[in-house]
Amino acid sequence: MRTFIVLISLLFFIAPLVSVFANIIKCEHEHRSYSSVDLKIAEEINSPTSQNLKSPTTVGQFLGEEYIFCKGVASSAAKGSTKLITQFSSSTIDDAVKIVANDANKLNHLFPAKHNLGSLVDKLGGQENTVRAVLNAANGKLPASGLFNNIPVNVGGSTVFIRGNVINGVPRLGTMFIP
Amino acid sequence: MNWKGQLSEIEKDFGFHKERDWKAAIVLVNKLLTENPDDVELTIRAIYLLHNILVEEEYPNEEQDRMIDLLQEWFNQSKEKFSENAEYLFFIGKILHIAEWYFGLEDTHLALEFQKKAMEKEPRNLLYEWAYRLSCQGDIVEGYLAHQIIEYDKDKIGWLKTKGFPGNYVLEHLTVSNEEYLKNEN
Repeated sequence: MRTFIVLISLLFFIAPLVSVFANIIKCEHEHRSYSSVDLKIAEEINSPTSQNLKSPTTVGQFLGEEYIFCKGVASSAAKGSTKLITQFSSSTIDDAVKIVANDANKLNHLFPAKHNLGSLVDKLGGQENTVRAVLNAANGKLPASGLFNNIPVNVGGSTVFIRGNVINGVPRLGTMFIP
Repeated sequence: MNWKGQLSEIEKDFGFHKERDWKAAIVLVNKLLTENPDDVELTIRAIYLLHNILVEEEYPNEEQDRMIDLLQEWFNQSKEKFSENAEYLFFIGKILHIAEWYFGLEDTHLALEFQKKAMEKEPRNLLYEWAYRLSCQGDIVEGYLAHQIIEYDKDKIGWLKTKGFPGNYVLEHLTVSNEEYLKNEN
């Protein structure tokens, strides 16, 4: 009888604990997957709800897909989707482009011959367009805040490496180049 | 070898995103700055050097914070010391536009302020005026000034060529301005 009671206790108390523990592990695994994986580049999402990646609910809403949310991060890619989870809205990208385009010093620094960006600039119709394309391609690959270094982005069939800083939610480019 | 030769040795590796032992180079430059605390040209070259390594070159991630701290230390000390020196204001004003966060700045207001002050200190210096105007969005004279300097002010071009990496950096941008000017003229 005593053994039976012990077994019942185990069933009621330990099993739920194991289940909770397993869920935590699953969430942590998914969290890591999201933050480290190279998300597939796809079209820019111009939805008005594509705000900065602050609220996972917002992410779920703007892609209109089902998500599992865990610890405040969208933890799963959309089912069968190749859409990029954007982190910067189009107006934030506009601000980032303006910071560069309005300062000839920055433009000159980003586009010297040794950065091998000449043919890309020709292809995309100018330096400002190139900066915009690079930032759009980087959307989802940059940290929410702080320095980033040697992030590869695919633009017009070329891999461009970028470095810079995300300050007050706006990405700033320090350099970009095709090796 | 004097400090100019030593710095040139380091600077010749710039521009290739080269992975080399920058730490040894930085230690050497820091030592040179300690030995020559009042040399404005050395200070300018040191700041350009460390900024270039941070922005353009390859280095282990764990060295980044230390380099940023050192750049800010050099910048803050030099700012106090050389804030009335036109050459300092001209060169440092230009580089502050590029990756201002490494200098502990949130925007490029101080960069523009430095460039304006350099121009005001030497109002006849077309190079300083060009640099300031280049930073003013929509300025229509900067290209013309760049053209005038490259075509007629050989002393200024020669002066820039004696300034190592910072001089060549400014010369590259001056050439771009001139090319843009000529393209628009034709």
